[in-house]
Amino acid sequence: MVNKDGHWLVWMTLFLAAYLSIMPLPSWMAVARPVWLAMVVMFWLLVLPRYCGMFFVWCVGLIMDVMLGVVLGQNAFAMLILAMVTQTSCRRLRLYPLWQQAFMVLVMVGLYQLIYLWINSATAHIQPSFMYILPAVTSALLWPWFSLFMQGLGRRFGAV
Amino acid sequence: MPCVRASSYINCFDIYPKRLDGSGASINPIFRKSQSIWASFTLLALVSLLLMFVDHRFDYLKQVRSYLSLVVTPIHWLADMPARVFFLINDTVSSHTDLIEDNARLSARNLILEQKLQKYAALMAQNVRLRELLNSSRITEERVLVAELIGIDPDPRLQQIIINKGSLNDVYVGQPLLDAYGVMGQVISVSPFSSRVLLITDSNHRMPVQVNRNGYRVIASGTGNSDSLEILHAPDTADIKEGDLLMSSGMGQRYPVGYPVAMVTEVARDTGRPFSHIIAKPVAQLHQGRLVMLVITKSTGSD
Repeated sequence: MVNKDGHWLVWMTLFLAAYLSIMPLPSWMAVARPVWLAMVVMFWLLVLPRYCGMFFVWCVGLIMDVMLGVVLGQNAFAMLILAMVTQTSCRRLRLYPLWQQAFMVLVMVGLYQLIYLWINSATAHIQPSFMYILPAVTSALLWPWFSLFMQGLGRRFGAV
Repeated sequence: MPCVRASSYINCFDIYPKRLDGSGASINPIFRKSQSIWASFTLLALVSLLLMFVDHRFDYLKQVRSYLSLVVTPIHWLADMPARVFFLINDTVSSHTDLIEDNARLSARNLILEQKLQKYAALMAQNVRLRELLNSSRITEERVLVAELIGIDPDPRLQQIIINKGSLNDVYVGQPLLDAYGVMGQVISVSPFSSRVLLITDSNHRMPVQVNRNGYRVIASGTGNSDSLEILHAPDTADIKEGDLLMSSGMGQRYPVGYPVAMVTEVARDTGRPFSHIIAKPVAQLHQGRLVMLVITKSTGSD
């Protein structure tokens, strides 16, 4: 189902997303930084649902935890729930037009951020604020272009 | 070829093509798959909850985190690449006259520092003599290890940085970090090639300090804001004024005594409140320099 290039492409996009998610940004932009890794994982879950299982997603989340220096399992747990929602609504999501998908991305990444915030406020002394919703908004706004770009990449390298 | 690609593209819906064959058994794999997804989801969710609990409460997972960091170090290194390249280009193309100017400025500065150091040697000797007279313990000089900043935590609410020295350079958890102007923070996790530093301005950070003018001891707490510290529980009668320099007091046995930490910028006394509201600005350039120093204070104890 996935040829060698496909594996290569999935890992490459994950690496790029990891890079984008820690790239230094001015603080007013960093507040609204899209959740790149969640977007990439969602995309591959939609396109290659057999390739990206729960364990794969969980490992990505665990690596994210180490990268961001938060409690081990925080991103992994949030990622797992995001993946579960994506998996269960996969067939519906794929039929939606892009703008409708973007709306679902808003809800799903919002859920991801909410879980992240809950765990954060339970383990670290961080004041919860409504700012957490901003990354979900930017992720949703970028989703149509992101999705088209990734589909282009996937066709180019024969992954989908 | 397009046909093959199309069929692989609709793999996700694979009940439809199979159902068209008329074999009723083809629904089963879907059912089994979704069951196995729920099973793995539940299992992994429980594992992550357990991980979070253990990692938050205990210290067992330090090694695991250290090994996983090896995967992450290249990403941090790559994220730092543009800045590195910028400095490299800047170094290569800076002109001859610029270099001469720099050289002259640095030698002048060096001269001034040398002059101050002469005084310092005499003062140090005097201090040691006086301390011997008072029978108090000697102040030891600390050695430092120069490190370079390679990453900043992307979450603007966390004040953490990543430096390029790790356990292979004998960096340990709790090691204090300075820059040329003052205290920056302490190491909170170490991997072989890099370590993560909690800055003094992080909202999880507390640091014992004393006012340089009169030795009044207080605790400086991070606010999560990159240019302010808050002084906790200073009574209204405390002798702290605007412009006072706060030094590390060495009380928590984490930071060595006598390094500058912050300058008091705001003192608000309100009789309605039990404590006065005091804000100080860190003297270290927490978000500017690239070169930092790790103080080696292993003998004073760490974990």
